[in-house]
Amino acid sequence: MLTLARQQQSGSIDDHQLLAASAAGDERAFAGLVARHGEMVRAVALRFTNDGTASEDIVQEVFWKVWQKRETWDGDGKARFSTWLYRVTLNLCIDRSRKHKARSWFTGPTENADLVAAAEPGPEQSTRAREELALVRADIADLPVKQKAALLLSAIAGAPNAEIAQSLDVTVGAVEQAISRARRTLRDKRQAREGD
Amino acid sequence: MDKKKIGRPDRIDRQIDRALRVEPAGAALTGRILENVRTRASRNALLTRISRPFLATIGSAIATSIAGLGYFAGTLDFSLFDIGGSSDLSILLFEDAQNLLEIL
Repeated sequence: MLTLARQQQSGSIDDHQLLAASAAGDERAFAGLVARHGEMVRAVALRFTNDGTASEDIVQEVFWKVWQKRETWDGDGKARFSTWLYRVTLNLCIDRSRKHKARSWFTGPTENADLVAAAEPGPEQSTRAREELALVRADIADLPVKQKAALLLSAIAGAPNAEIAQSLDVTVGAVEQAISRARRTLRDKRQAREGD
Repeated sequence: MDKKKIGRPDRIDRQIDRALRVEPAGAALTGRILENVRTRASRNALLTRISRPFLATIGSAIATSIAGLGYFAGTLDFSLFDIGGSSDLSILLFEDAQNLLEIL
């Protein structure tokens, strides 16, 4: 019989088994879940908020919730762990964005780290290209919540549309439409800048 | 129909995909998450250990006060409590105090 560590390495152990093992006190199993999903959660949070510090906080909060739920989570017998994880991640991203909006209403807009970085010359990319990349990232962060969520789960997490639909509580058709609208908006904004 | 939609991704599509990409944080990220969870879990355990006896003490003080009030209501005469008699009220308060103690 394979040990948990070897099963993890070979990928033969699924999320539910890792969660069950974590609930039984196996910290390596929990570490396995973090290693498997941590980068995805961070990447979604980073592109959602366009804020490195916020995304780090969100990642910590998401896995703290996983830890707290490890003994009771059952997915109602049918939900996938990843679907639940996407939902938790998005909810925290939305909460964070709301708080940020409310705060910036009082304090004024904060400087975008990407744009600041783009102003500094880099060896591998021209300043103009870096600037444009930062602007597209800001455009992504400005998308309507559902469109942004669908686009990020599809492009970053590689989630199938059916799972995205479950996470967002919408139909598969609505997910397809949201992704296509998001890309169209990003294209339009980019083209409008080119025309300036 | 927009030909670009069905054609190969163009320069702008590629730029959008590049903007979506995130450099992986590597193993350090896993380490930070685990450290954070460990710290919060042990802090929670400590708080639970401290707060349970504290809550029990506060709770029993409240229960004693309610019971005392019930006793007081029982000793009072009719005129003070016109909501069904002072003895009913004292029974009610004694029961509440007992329930509270059971919960604790």
